[in-house]
Amino acid sequence: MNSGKKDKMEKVLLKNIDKPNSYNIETYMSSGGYKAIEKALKEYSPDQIIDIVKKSNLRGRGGAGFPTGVKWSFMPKKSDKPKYLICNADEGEPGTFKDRILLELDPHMLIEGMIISAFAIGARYSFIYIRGEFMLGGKRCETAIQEAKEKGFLGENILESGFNHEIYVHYGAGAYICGEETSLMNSLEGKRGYPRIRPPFPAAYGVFGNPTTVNNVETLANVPHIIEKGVDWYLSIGPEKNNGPKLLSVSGPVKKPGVYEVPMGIPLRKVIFDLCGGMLSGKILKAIIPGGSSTPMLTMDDLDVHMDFDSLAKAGSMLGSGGVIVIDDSFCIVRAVKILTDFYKHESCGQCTPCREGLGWLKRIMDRIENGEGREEDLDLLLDICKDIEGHTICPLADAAIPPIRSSIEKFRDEYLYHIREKECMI
Amino acid sequence: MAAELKKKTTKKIKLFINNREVETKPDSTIIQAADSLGIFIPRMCYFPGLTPPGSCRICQVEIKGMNKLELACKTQIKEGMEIFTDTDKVLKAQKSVLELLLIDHPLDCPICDQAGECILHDYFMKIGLYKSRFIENKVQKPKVQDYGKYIVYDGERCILCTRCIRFLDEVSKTSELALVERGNKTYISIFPGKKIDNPYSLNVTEICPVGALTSKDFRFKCRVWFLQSTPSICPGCSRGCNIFIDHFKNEAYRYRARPNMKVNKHWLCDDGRMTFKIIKDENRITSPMMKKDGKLNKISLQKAYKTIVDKFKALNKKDTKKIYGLASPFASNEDNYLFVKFMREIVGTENIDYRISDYSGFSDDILICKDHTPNSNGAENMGAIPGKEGKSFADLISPDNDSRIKILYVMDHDLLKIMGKEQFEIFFSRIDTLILQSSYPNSTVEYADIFLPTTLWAESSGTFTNGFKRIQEFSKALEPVGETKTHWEHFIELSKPLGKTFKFKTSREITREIAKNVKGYLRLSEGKIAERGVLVKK
Repeated sequence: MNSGKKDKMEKVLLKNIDKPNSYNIETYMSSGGYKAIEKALKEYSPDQIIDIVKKSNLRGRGGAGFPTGVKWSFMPKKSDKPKYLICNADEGEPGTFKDRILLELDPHMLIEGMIISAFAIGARYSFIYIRGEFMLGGKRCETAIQEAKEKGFLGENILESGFNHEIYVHYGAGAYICGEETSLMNSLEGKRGYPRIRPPFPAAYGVFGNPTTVNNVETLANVPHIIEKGVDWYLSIGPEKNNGPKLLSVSGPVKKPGVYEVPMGIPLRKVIFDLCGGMLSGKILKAIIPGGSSTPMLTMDDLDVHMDFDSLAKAGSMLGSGGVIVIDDSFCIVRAVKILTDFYKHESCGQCTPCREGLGWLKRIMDRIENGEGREEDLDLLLDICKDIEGHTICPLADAAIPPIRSSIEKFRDEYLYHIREKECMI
Repeated sequence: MAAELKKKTTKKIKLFINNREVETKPDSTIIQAADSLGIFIPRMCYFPGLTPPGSCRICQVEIKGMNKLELACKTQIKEGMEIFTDTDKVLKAQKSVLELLLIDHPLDCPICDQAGECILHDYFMKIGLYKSRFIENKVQKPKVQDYGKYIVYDGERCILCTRCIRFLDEVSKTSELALVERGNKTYISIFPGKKIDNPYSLNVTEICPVGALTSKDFRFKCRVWFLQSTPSICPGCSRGCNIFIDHFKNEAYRYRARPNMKVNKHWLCDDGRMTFKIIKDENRITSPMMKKDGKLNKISLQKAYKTIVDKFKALNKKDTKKIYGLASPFASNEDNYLFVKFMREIVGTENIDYRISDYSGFSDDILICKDHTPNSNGAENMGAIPGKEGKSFADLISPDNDSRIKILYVMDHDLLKIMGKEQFEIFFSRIDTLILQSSYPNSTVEYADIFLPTTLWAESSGTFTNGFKRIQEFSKALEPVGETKTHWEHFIELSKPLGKTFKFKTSREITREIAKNVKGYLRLSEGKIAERGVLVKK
């Protein structure tokens, strides 16, 4: 088992969560919280902060892995319109539950990150767009905002820097699509959660038509640590261009499922067999979806892949949101993919043709195969439809529905064929 | 500065479409540029005059240097851009969108009103022609939904292009429709208890590219491939919206908007669209009538003309001052021109007017004008106003006027309806002979001594001058019913026995004379009038 020095790391994002009342401002401050904001506002200019974050190689933790500092630099320096920061807390990718931990147990880390980020991009107001079901997380954020305001970290003239900032919490209404940043903005505006066509990009024309940056919870929670401990410290964690700590949410038949903070680049094998204590007794590992439901499946053969953006891409999958879904040999792959396809079909907003119609078609074929009414030619048909949909839609939702189908047909074709020929499950 | 600005805005840019070098206006999208050059790009959600949502995805084109296909409706053209609309990649994408839209489509074309002008149908024949790979059960959605006075919705035929929603948001600004549900269950709906209730509702059925929104008035009446289309002008108000009259076997079935950016853009109002109903109105009288012993009887046209001629001949020169002519803002320039010519040159009276009522009604800032006649400006321009020493209609009916009226010659106006029974009867008691020549149903006919049946705009050709002084042409769509003739034909018949024959054979010949004789109308002499009309010259 690979357990090199590089895989060990002091906790950064989860350092407070085991403390009693970890969500209170006192707890957060007693472990050095809100120090970074003082440093950021007093020692650096907004441009310098953007530069620091660029150099840190912090990449978006929502799934796409886009460099955060670069994203910030797209915001216009001068703008007649107000600029906005939005924290995307609409965590909804199946298998992903890492932001929830931060929202419920350490909201101040997020808020500190948001204040610094807002300062960097020049946003007067920001929003936490939180998944509607996260009632506890939402309430904790609201309380935390109130506490931060009382301590002078939010409001007018923060720490006498001349910087003003307010944060508002907005609850989503249950649509997965609203985690996509442009439909999130439409939803925030009170409109139907339909993704917008880019260009214009949010940095030019975002929420209410104003320049907007949307960052994931975990991304923003990284920011105070980068400011406080510096770029060199951050670069010391994880492989090149994939730096920093990463939260993984592991689900499935492992002994200890849950959220783990790991250094980027940790081997998958170590996550499952070391951190999570291996498979439940009697269960044999069959497949791993490494980064939330939309990432291509891996098998036993891929256990030595390193959990970072570039390594997983090289292995034909994605780090995505870091939602590791473990599937054991007692679970039928066809059924697993049918469930996922069902999910994406259910959550398709219906705006553009390929997604609306294509996913409905894919779902019905998957249902048919699952029900023992499949035909062998259905596998090629599934792949063909995937090809027709891919890259032709307004947003990435449909593209996210394809990898489970495509990778499972590629890697578990035998299970599909058994279903089709024997009209029942292989398991 | 102004010249510089003008130069800048008219500068064209060069680009390549399918390797063909073309020049076009800047600030266009690819689809606009292609349209202006006659290059076909399929479209479903795109409709000129509405914001493109880019959601149907069928207008994808390939652009050199870009990895993905781009939307022709959303992408701005750039100098030197190389666009391909017919590569394998493009055709495959188009075909796939079509296939996806058709999987859940009910394919009930034999009973669908849109068949024959359906975008799915047409594109399948043009770019589809694949064998269906779909064997699943189709999604079921609401059908036969009553969405308003004129509108029925079929959710299963709907391709969710949202043209209707955008029309109601952006043009009528009434927003009665919205998308409900999600994914492939999405359909279009009204809000609870609220129907599509605005003066422009039928535009949504016209711009619906499939049979989802159909017109209660038109549905199941006629297959569209039987219909012939004749360009015409809506007579409903002084906007003069450009229309096609769609007709079959000498019966009009509907109008469609004929785009004219200077007049009606792509739209028509519902009241305007319904004006064709008047053609078949049961109260319309289509044969000549004459009063005998207080009762109206059918007579022949020849008899009617002879009676009118005799009435005029019976008058001496002094009496011509007691002859009055009322021209019509509902009739064409040609009709009014000849009426005025007849009254002035043959009858010899200057008592001519067209301002009988202001015919005003509902108006808005979209299309509907306050003046609900199509040709007030034209009637005035043709000289249908009192000449020197002539009396206006207002003079004629003023309470202290009790002079006798030897002959009142009326085109179209329904005086009984306009003046009210009591006032009209006082007025009528002063009239010796009332000649009425009307296209529209007319309640004053009971009082007329002689009635001449006349064609409507749909049954004749000519020009109208709209409320914005734009002269527009309409063509004859239907053969006249019964014994109706155009107003001007009646005057030609009357002119000969009265000693001065008008020698016009077609309305076009009158138009040419108008060009010569009427101030500001010279441009009509150029022959065919431009499709978007010409302005009266100041």
